[in-house]
Amino acid sequence: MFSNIRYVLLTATRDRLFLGLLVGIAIAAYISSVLGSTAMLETEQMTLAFTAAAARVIIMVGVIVFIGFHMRNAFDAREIDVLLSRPISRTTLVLSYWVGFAAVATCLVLPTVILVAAVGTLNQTGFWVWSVSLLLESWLVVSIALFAALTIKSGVGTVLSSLAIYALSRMMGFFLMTTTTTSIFKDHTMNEGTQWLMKSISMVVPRLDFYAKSNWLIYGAKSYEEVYLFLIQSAIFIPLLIAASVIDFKRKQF
Amino acid sequence: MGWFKKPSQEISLRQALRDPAMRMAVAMFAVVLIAQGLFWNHTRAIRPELGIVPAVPGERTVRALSFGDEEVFFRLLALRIQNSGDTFGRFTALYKYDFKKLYDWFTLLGHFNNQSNYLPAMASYYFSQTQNANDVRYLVDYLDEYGTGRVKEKWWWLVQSSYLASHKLGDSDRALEIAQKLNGVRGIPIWAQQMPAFIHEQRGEFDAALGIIEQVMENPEDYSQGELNFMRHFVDERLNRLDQVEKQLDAIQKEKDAMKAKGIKDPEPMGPPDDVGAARAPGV
Repeated sequence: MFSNIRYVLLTATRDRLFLGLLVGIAIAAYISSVLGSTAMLETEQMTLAFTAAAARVIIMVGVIVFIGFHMRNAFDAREIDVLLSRPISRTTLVLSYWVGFAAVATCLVLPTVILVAAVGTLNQTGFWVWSVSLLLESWLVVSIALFAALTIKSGVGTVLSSLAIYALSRMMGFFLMTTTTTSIFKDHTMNEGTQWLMKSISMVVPRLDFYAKSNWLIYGAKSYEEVYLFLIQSAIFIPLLIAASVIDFKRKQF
Repeated sequence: MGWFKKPSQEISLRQALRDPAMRMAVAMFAVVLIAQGLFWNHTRAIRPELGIVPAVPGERTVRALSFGDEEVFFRLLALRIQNSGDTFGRFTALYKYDFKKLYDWFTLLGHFNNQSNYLPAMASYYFSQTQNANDVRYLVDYLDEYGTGRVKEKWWWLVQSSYLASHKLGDSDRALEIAQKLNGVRGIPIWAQQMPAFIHEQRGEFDAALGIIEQVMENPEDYSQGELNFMRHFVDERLNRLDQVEKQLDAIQKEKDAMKAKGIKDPEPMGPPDDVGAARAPGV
């Protein structure tokens, strides 16, 4: 298990994932500070919000692309077959992959948190809440991408579907809000149908709009409820996706 | 830098041109290159139509596009409004702006962050400089709506709104209506509480102005000796009503002297809040 985790970390280093993404985040932070400095007021708040959001997107997209193509290579080069020929269960293999990718995500989140702290901490509690939620969001994204990589045969398909789920999860709050209005379509049945559809989809899609809100960095979290929401969502959805990945992987024929 | 190296197994162009397919490809390349030149010549004058204030999207659209992080989208759009009309090397005079659209933008963005002072600062310090004074009414309305209901927290923007209504718009009724919201709100600067009195005085309504000053005078622990001196000066020199409140002022002065003798410090006069981008007077 540990050799596989180390292998994932070595691959990330070999592919220059850390260097590439961290340079990207540093450039995004610099552009954010230039953009923020053009604001006539609240320049620090501007810089902080732009840096945090840009870094989050870079990390999530980077992790998804890395997992998608790393897993594809592992299947194509028969690395998975070799690993399974050793005395290691399929469950342990999936778990070791998740831990490896989560370690990669953590290695990307930690310097980002330090960078955001260097840009400026306007609200200490908000900063910590944001940092923890960014870490958990990255782990959840790892679970999504790993699940997609184990179930979809193409690397591009894995990346695109993971990005689609990520975008959908980020917009889920908005979609749920629209289900409360009855005037989307003129036809009542259509309205009811779409509401039912959206509610059904929302049951199986995580609410990533609970995570890494930039306003926490500026004003702090409004209540403990905001913290509980992302903690509970992570506690449910990460194991759920890992379990689904294990089930799917155990049924695979090699 | 290996990708800049010339591949070693390359044949010369003369050799390659012996192949009819190669000659065809080169001819095609030349024709298409000329066509691109002609196309460029034809289209180079076509420029994108750049508006000044962008069209205002719906609240739902903005919520959807924010991808769950409304703060970032709020700040991106606010920055866009600040730079509207002044992008791609353009500089646009403020009278050319559609202030109704600006008002709609401010109101829309207020739904995403109503704590930030960025939008009211932009309205008060920048857009209020428009050459078309009538447009200021949109800013006055926005600032009034922004501060109403939370006067203690956002009194500065109500002061700005009242000031703009009075001095830019020249609508003293509107200025007074807004200033009345500051009347009797303790915990904000004395001069802000006195704003309706100043507007009454401008309108020649001296008795009404005196009423406001009397109300402010009721809490001597809230104001300094300097502020008391100003109130005496205002009532005497500008309202000509000193005889009506002289006894009251003398009693307050005695009270202040007694406080001073006991070593009770005078309250510091309050300036603008730290986060509104206003310059502070030296020593305040």
